Amino acid sequence: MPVLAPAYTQCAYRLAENLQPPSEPDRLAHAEPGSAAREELLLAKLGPRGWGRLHHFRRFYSPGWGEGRGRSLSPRATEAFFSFLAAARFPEGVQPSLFLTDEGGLELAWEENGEAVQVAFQPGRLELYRKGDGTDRELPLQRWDEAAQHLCP
Amino acid sequence: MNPLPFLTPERLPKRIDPCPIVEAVVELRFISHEPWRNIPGMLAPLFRPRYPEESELPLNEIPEAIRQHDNNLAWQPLVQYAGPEFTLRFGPRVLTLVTPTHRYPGWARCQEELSWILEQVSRAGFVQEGERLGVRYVDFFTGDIFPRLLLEVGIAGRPVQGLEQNVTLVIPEDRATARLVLANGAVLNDGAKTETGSVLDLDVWHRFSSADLLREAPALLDRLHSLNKRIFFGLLKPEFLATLNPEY
Repeated sequence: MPVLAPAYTQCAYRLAENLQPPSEPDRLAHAEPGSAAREELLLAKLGPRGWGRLHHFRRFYSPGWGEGRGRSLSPRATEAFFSFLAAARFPEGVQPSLFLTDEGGLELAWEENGEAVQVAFQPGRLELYRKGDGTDRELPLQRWDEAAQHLCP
Repeated sequence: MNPLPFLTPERLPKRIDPCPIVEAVVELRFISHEPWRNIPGMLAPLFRPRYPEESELPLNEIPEAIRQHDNNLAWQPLVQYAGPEFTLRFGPRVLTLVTPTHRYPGWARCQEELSWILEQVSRAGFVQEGERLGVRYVDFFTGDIFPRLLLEVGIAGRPVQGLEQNVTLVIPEDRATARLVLANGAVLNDGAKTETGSVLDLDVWHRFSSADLLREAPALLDRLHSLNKRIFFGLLKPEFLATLNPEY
């Protein structure tokens, strides 16, 4: 049976009714094509809470969020964040918290021996902070491997 | 580096006839520091000379909160600018250039138009960063496409034949990703007629991680177009390709 109802998405064709995908159950979502490995990494390192927060930041934070100056999540910052996440070894039992910065970057924060550790992936730079050894510096975004080596080897 | 998981022909045809391309779509996903409400006003004066027919798309009627929740809607355009040769569509995070139905003008012409569009986008200055750049071709064939392809869908080593099928593959290649949709129960309504047949929908994209989208885009688009073409011709059985009168 052909499906010719007006479409909300712009596509040149429709699938016949039998071939149309069933609606997604509430508790199941398809990964974006090509990103299944990233979803797995995110869940393994940050748990369901961090996974949910990243999706939330990506989807729902339009330009001007917060008090009007917040920027949308930067794809460049996100790339560096995932590269860092793959290389980072967090202390046993630690799942860092994830935040969106005003500049559209991502910030990871956790504790090490009761003291704060933070790394922010801003659109053009990395910001590293560790209270324990007085680390407080910036690196170019491409040097995520150095940041991972320094903060969570 | 991930090579393609199948062989592609050494020589690729320049054109085939009959041409199965229904439409080609070049998509740029981006983030902007401008709220969406400001963007159409920035674009209209730039594009009106070449794309005089401006209209809102049906999705614009759906509240933003619902669009953002749905993966199929979040990166869709909301307004359209139509010109005599191409159609441009924009959304809060996407720009697409679409070729006219069944009148693909060739990649060289698409490139030329894209370069003009990217220039206008650069002048408007609303793109903060590129997120993804893609080249998608939608091809339509009468009848069942599966027996004419080198790809086989089978159960316990026996190909599935004669059943309605809709297959999606995601193929990584170096820094690009290809999403191939094959279906033998597709309905095409091109405005002039409605017909059923098979669709080969191949979207190839590159995820951005560099700042200079507008400078890098032309070379990347060329690479994505070549990859799309290699995958397409790598799927066709030689005897099927011969019926399409390839010109090299």
